[in-house]
Amino acid sequence: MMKDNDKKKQWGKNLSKLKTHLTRPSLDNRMKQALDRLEWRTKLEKSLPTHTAPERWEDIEKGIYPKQPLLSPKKLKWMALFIILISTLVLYLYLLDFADENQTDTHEHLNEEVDMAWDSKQWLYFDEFCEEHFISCDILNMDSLHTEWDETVRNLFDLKESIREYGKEELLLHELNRLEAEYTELVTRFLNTLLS
Amino acid sequence: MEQLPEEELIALCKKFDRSAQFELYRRYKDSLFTLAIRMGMEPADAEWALQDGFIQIFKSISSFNGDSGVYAWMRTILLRSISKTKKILIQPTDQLDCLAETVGESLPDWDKEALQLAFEQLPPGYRTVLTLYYLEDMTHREIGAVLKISEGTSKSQLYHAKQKLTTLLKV
Repeated sequence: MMKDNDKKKQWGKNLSKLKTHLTRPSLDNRMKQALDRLEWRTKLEKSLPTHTAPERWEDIEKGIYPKQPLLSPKKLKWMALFIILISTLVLYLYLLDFADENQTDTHEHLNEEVDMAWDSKQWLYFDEFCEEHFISCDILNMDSLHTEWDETVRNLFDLKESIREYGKEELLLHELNRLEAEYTELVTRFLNTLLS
Repeated sequence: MEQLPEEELIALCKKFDRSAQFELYRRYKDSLFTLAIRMGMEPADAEWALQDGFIQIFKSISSFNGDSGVYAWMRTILLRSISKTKKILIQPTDQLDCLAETVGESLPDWDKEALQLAFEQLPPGYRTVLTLYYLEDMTHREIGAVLKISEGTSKSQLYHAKQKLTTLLKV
């Protein structure tokens, strides 16, 4: 009996081994899979077309070796800002220099004008000269000339003061030119009167 | 350069030798472009993916250690580039883990043009798995890793792809 039981046990073990063996993917099955793969591959390879890729080497090369910009956008921004600042500074200095030069010119010009006017005041004493030389002031109509001249000189002095106070050179220079013309006319008239 | 063995070509590419890089591109561009088209990409998109893929290939070639073949390595990079350009839609299917591998249908003698037409009519996911498994000899594990799907999904996709293709060809 014992021997029969042992045999049964052994038989059971063998059956279990066989079942395990049978349920495992067999060599045959793997062969079938390989064959299936080969068959499908061959069929698909034969049927499906191959394609030629368009030439994109230059683009790829650009992608691998991108051109480095000389300046990064950040550096470029700073550079632009620096240039703007320098330009502004240069322009400011130029204008400052120009204004200064202009002001100096104006003052020099004005001083000359005033000096000339002051010298010209000598003309105011010309009546004395006329008297000394027996020339009548009435004949020469010197009185009216004196009055006009005094006014011109006064204007010139006022101008000089205004320039000192307000520094409006352009406006005053224009006025000065007008006065200068007036003065020239006055002198011309005076000389004409004297010589006539 | 055309006769240069692949190992030497790769070594030169690692040194950023431009003529070697061009040679590697010339050797594999058509195969990789064909793969992209077979996966259902439009030619313009495939062209873009190929360009992007090659840029990545040459930028990361120093990491290539030769464990796998150079083509397999380049293909993995291209597939990543393709998945960036195009979302490959995997249709939900049953998980037939073993079925796909046990199916060994013998193929009828299909007409070449008909097979081509039927292949083009397959959904993108089916086309992709069919291409990668049969034409690129990739395992389901590799396919799963590239497409970010499970191995089981890859197997069931393949099974359904074959069924669909067979159905289309019988119509």
